[in-house]
Amino acid sequence: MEILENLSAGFGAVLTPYHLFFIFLGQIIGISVGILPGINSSMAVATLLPLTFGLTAQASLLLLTGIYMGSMFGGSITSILLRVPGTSTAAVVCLDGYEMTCQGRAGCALGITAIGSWVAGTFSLVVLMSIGPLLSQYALSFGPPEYFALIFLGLTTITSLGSASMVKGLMSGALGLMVGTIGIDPVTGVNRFTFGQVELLNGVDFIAVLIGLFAVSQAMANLEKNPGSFCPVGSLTGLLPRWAEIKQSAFSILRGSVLGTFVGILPGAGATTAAFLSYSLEAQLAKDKKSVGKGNISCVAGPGSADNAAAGGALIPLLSLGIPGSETTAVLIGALMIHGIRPGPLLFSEHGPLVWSVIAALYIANCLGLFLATAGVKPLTLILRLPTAAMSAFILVMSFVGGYALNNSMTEVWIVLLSGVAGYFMKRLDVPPAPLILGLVLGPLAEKSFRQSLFMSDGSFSIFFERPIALVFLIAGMVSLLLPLLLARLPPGAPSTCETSFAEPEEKS
Amino acid sequence: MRGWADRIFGLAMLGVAGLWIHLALKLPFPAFAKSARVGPGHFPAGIAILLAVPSLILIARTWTPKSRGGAADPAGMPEPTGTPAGIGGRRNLLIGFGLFTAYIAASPIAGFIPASLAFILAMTRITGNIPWLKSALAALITTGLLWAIFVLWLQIPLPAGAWRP
Repeated sequence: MEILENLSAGFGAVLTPYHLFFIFLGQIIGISVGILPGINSSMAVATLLPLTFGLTAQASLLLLTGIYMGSMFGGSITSILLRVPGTSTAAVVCLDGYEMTCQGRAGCALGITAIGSWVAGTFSLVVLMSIGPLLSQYALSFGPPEYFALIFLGLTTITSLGSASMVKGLMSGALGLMVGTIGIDPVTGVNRFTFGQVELLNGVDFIAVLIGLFAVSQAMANLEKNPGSFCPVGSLTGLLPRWAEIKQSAFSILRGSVLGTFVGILPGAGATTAAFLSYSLEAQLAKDKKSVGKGNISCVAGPGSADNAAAGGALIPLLSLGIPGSETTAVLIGALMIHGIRPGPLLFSEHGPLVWSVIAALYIANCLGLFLATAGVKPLTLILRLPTAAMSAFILVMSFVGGYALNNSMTEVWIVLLSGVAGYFMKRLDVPPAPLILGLVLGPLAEKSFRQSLFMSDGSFSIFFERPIALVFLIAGMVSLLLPLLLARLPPGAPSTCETSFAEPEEKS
Repeated sequence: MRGWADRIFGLAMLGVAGLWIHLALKLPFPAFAKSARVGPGHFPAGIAILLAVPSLILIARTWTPKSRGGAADPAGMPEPTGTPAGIGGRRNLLIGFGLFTAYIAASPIAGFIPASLAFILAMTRITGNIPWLKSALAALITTGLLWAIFVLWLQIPLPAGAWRP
């Protein structure tokens, strides 16, 4: 009851033209920034932070959280329409989202992402209000063994992401894991595989690889096919998802919301990890494995929801404990401190009205985001009618700028080009790119938490089996890894969830 | 044809895995980290083995009688989904990669604006046969928009060019 009273007071505080203007502005800037490759929400919030110095604490927080939430959806737009990932969190949406565009279902993909973002954002806010502080305390008990086990579970999906061939899927995943080991070893500080290049000490930026692998290779493949207009197949009908598609995606959105909120709460995990883990989950649960990576709406709805839920989830430890769950919330701490507010356990009691007005503003921002996104679907899809040559040139220039903006350096641009060449050949050889990206994103986290766990246990592997949460995740990971292999070995006619495996299917011989 | 492509791909990946294992095992293992038993080279070496095993399977499959006969795809897979490119398509592809490489190489010297204008103009004219006026407009709008957003609004400097003081 007290929660509702506080929330209504929060709504009362922000439902003024002055505050609504900042929420609207934040959403517009957030969506615009999200569209641009190479610019993520933390960069946008940090860049625009000085602009809020002259504003009140409330107005500046409304603007910055609006940017934060808006950028989550904005990143999906170019991922779905052009296969150019706007943000790292939306990168995974490229995989099935762009395939839906090619099937003439761009509007449906954008619409389901917008709806999922809204549901997930609202879900994470409800969690924030109701059991946020409790969950934060629980999340802090998550140590390296639990992190490793969770990431291991995510990595096991590699076996089911190779939709055409499990062998090639494994090779792609291992390649991604290997690229993830380039740079300074996070545990000992030893230089690994840098070949004397100073620029590689920080590792290979996965966004640069992603831009090359998806955007550049796709632009080149389209130039090669040269069908006239950029969208290769189908019309742009179905500007919003049909009721049946919403029903089909409902559980994916729910799963993405729960998973995203929880991963968002974990310090250091972030929305990108949440989106990739959600994709892994949806790929595992897909009834038709062949459709994964080929325009499966659940694989768009799940990750599209998880990143927004993680954005909301990251606010939970920030507001209740003063611990940032992501890069952007770390920048938001700076914004709070500029105005003399120290986030932590006393924030709700000391600055209750401010916190509740921010929560109310996030609700409004969520609804506004859904409206802006659905209203913008039709004009956005018109971009696909441009001639191939013009669109390819535009994508390549965007890829250049996106790569350069990552570190203001040409090294990332060359990585974009090399990844583009690799992506083109992977496409020709039917090597799926999704496992590579999954390995590249989750691999460094897995290695770091694995070795930190061994430090904790003086080198004993028993640490992974003595902690219940870690053990549950590991068992789930082993089941997820072995089940497709075992089911594929069943005789023909027996139920199978994986039609491609090490064993060649009978009908293909 | 696919058998050969897969064989070359498998061999290349096997080579990469071998190189990775070789380099990983040469990495130093600092004394302070010995208690963890897993050093900086062990994880990469393990992953490289993970790459080597499926690479060997892929190569082995290309030697099976089925694949040598050419009736079926060696990895049990359908042919690539992309439509076979004609001579025009391959020409566009090579020009596209060539122009993009030249654009990246030229940008730090010529600067973002001149390099982007030239790149977009060349791409739209050569690969799309788009009329001069439309090509010039596309180049101007795209370059101007990106410059305004990144440099003027977000204050992210793009390559200014070696000729600028």
